[in-house]
Amino acid sequence: MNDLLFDLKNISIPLPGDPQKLININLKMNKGDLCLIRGSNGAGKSTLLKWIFKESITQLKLKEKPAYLAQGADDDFILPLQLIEAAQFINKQYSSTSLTTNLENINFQKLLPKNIWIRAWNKASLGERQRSLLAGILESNKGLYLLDEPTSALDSSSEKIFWQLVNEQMNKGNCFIIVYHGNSNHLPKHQELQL
Amino acid sequence: MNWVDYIIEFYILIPVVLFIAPALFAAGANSLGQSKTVDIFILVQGTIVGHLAALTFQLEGFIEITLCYLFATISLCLSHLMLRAPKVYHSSLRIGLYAFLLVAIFVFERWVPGLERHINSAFVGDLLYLSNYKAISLIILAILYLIYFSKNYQNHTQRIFYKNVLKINFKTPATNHLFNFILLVSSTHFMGLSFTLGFAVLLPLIFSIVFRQKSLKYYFIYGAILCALFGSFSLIISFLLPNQSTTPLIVIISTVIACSLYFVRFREQ
Repeated sequence: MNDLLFDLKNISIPLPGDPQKLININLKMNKGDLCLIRGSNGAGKSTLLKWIFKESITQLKLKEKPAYLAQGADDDFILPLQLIEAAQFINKQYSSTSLTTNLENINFQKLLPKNIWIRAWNKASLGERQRSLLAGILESNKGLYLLDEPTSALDSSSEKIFWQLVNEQMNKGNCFIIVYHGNSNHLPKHQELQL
Repeated sequence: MNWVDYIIEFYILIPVVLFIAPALFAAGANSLGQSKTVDIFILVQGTIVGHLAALTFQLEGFIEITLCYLFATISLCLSHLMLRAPKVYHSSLRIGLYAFLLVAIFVFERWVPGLERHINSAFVGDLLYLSNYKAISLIILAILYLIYFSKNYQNHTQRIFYKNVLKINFKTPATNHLFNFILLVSSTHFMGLSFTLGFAVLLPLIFSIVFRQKSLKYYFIYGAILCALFGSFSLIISFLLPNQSTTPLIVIISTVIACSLYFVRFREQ
């Protein structure tokens, strides 16, 4: 069985703000791998994640688009929206099965407990919003997840749950590339890419 | 004529408002969610310019409505061209275009004596002079729009969520643009600017505040139902005040009832 997901060698990606400046990437991912991208502000971490998402089929030769979660939970929503809907929306984007059938899933409820399902998006804390998005996306059962600072607003217990769920997915052979600045004790086995 | 006589005489208007109000609400709420409300203003204003241009050259019937669509198309194309400018200028440039179209109306006034009455009717609408043929056309259009919208509800809300929360723009299908365009231009032409803006801009905004604790699905379903009920109820009430302008009265009564919901039903949430 071939465990290799993709192998990027000497790939140069231009930074959007400064096209003359290039990020040079060497990144090899096998099934079940976790890669943490680290680096200073403006180093191109989010740009790299977007590039992988955009080129996943063409350059990376993946069979399906990865699940991608950008930073965005900090913005309010002009129309009414509940946290459970946010989870369902992001899940529906990446999953072929509807989340409505998996709402009783224990892992889903670890991140998004029933008592906050109907909380309004605009009234929820940043951490609760982020948990709803992560709960939705992690239920999509994708081969590759691209997450941009997914734990930035999570408290330590929620972050622990998140890394446990990531570990479970990795054991199923799914891969993660995560922009991450923290240093949690609960991080699964991983490689790091410093930009 | 008494109140009942008015209802018997203009009974056809009740189903018109019953269907066109929720259709406008759905279109307006969708635009509001995608931060495209200014497009409605431009489209509506372009339609009015087309309507007055037709009157200036004494064109009627099919040519008149064609001119409305033409001017609305040109206005919308200009608005989309402005999206090529840096993002920071988008809102200001499009509000500038709306202001330009608003001023353009008064150019026609100098050319054609007595055009003030038509400008006035374009703003408040000629609801009571709507022929049965036009009324039935509007009902059919509104029903088709509501069927299209409910069939594609998931895609509409998905686009709104992604644009607002994840900052990812998904391309809006051409059929969606076309349905919105036909609905808004036809409504402006037949029902007037105040009715169109009232149900496509004002009420979606008020309901977004009234239902702020509810789900997006609840907002769309109950918002549409309440627009239909409030609009029809306001129309019947307006027959009690035959000396007042019907359309602005419908919008004002509907708005007041919608606002009162905030204080009565949902204040404690």
